[in-house]
Amino acid sequence: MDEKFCFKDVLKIIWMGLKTAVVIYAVFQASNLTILYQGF
Amino acid sequence: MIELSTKSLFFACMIIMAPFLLRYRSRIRQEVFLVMNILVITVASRSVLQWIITALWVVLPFVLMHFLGDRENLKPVMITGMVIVYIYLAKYGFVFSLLHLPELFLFKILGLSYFLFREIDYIMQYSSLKEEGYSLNLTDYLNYVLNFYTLMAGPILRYREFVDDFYRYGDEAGYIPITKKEMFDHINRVINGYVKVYVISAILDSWAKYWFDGLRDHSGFIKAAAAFCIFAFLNCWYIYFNFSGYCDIVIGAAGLSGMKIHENFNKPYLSRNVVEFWNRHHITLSEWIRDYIFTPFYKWLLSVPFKKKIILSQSVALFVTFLVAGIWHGTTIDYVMYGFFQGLGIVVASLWKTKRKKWLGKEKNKKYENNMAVITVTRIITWGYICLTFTFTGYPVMSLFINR
Repeated sequence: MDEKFCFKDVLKIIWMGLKTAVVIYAVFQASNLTILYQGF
Repeated sequence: MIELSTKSLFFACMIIMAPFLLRYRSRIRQEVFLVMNILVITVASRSVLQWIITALWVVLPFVLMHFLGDRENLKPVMITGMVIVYIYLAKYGFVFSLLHLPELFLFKILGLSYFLFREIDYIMQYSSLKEEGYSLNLTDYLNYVLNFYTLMAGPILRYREFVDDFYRYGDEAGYIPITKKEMFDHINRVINGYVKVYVISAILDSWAKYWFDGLRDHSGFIKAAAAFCIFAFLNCWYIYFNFSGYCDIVIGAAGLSGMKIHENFNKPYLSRNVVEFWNRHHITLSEWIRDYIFTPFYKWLLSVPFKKKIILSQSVALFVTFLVAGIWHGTTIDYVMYGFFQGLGIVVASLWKTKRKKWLGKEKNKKYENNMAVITVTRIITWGYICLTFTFTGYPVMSLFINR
């Protein structure tokens, strides 16, 4: 992959980072949530 | 409660590590993948005994096919034996209570049913794979059956597709090329999957549980029915987000590792009938049961008991296939009901389509199918039906009626 990163890509990365933060928050803080594959 | 167990963390670590280890097509790529698969199975096993039984369950079909694979008449015997052992290992409650069988271990083996699907595919395709010159060595077989990406909830791969994809040609340096767009799409898909599973479906599940637990508190029928509808609505969206989210994680993560995994969902709640629904929901399961349950059973019905009665044979085969698929989903009476209603829905949808074509003729039927009002109404009816049938999965709905 030799393509260069542009400004649009930076925005994409920020957006993905925000979503990841939401997931981490949900996992660590919202203790009354349930997941289906908790047995794993 | 969200359980951030060491096992789920380990799985997340594997998903992050795999692209670095598997993207490059080195000579030991298959061995590296095998080690990863065995590690996941080992971490997921709850005891040494469970690990040994899992190993036997996975390796035995390979050994038997290796030595007896050319004997076509042995295949049905082997598959029957495997299904019997599966019923025992999967802990079907009614079997245990009827036969007073001892339980070997407390917890179910992770991915047991998906192992069965892949093993049956391997057994059924063995002769043609051999003829076509496919690699049938133990490493490839174990990677196919134990594939940690598809261990927990599919999608169900076929041996042929798996091997074709795994040995796909890389570039001159042996690296499987990836564009920037592909990389972003795969990473974004994994993150979206985690959002679906850990945020959206988790919230929907807690709401669905709340409404289900409160069902017995409602005094009047209308109040109870309304509460049940709210529960069904939340539960069906929970199933969609959870399952499709999980598939997004594994399809995206496998894509980063240079592997292609089949799509398993295609906007299922926009289906216009139950037949279409099963072509858009858990697509790989529908294809598997079509190939290995419906088609052979339909052919048998057509040739022996219902000679040339196409519609009757098709209806019976469809009903039995989806009843079996329902029972496969779980071990309680609720899953029998789930299979029953899916089978019923499919038979009614398929008969209605056949009759409608006869009554309206080709032209009018086409107009009927393309009418926006018809499309909207049939979508709502199908979605409502699916919502109600999905209540049997994961919740003891039958106990509401039995113990009232």
